[in-house]
Amino acid sequence: MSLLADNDILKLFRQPGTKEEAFKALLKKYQEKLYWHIRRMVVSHEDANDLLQNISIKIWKSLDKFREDSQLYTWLYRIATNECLSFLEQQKKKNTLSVSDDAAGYSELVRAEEHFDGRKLEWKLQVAIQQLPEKQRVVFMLRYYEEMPYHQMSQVLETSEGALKASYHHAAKKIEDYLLNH
Amino acid sequence: MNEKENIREELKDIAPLLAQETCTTPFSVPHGYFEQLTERLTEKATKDSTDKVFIFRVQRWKKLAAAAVLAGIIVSSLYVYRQSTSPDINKNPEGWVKKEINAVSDEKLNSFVTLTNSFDSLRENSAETALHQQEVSSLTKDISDDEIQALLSEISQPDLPEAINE
Repeated sequence: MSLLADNDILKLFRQPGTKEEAFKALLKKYQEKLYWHIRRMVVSHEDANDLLQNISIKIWKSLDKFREDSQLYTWLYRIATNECLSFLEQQKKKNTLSVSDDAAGYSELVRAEEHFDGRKLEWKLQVAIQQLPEKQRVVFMLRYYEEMPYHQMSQVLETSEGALKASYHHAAKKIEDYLLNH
Repeated sequence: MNEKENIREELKDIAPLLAQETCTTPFSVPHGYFEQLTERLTEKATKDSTDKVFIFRVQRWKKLAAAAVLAGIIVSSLYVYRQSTSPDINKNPEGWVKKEINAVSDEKLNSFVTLTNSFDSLRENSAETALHQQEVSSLTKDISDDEIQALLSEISQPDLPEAINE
């Protein structure tokens, strides 16, 4: 089945008779991308699944208000990213962990994953990513995995392109150091 | 140059090792997780938002009802409390007076006491004067007026009690 264009999804969503159909088309197009974005942020599948459900509810409720100032997928990533950051913040408060403990905690979650192999670069990369501060983590993931241009990242994170470039460079440098030393 | 090539070039400068190969995400998902995901998410989103609207309405209605009941309880309690703490003047006059006095300020009570004391001293003086007059009358009842006049003329005026002079 071919995927609908974003404009068509939005038109259908604004008509009461085809609202649900449009929502399904949107999910079909973006759900896997959003899932992996969330999963890389929170590591646990259960948490990612819960967050994806909450994000879907938010999208359903607020897609009517989407003004098309940005691309639809940028808007979706903004909702997902904010939800993930709120979740991580809540977890931090709940566990009363310091920033370093928190990073170590998420690295441990990666090591506890099924099929974890600490010798493989992709797993080492995941451990290294979890040791970054949250904002740098998001910036790195959006650039490295989603291949998102800076101007779109700027809309997702509401941060200037210059700041994002600096943040990405710091993150990549830290990861490179980790990979060289482990 | 597309974005993918841009990213690769950018990485070569700052993280050459990372730029050597593209890493995929190694996490796994439960078997068949994505197969019915659209339906599950749609059901959750449409059902959940309807439920939440309903819950919101019920909660709002409940809040108003609870507020009304609470206000009623407070008003009734105040009424009962006032009734129980206000003694009936016919059944319990002392209690009524006590309560009324409690409502009067100390300053007003002090001025009332001072005023009452001055009335009492006046009353006592009058009673004492009446007693003296009675005693004098009983002592002089068997003495004739002439004898009294004669006695008075013998005694100097300042030595007489004031009551007799009046």
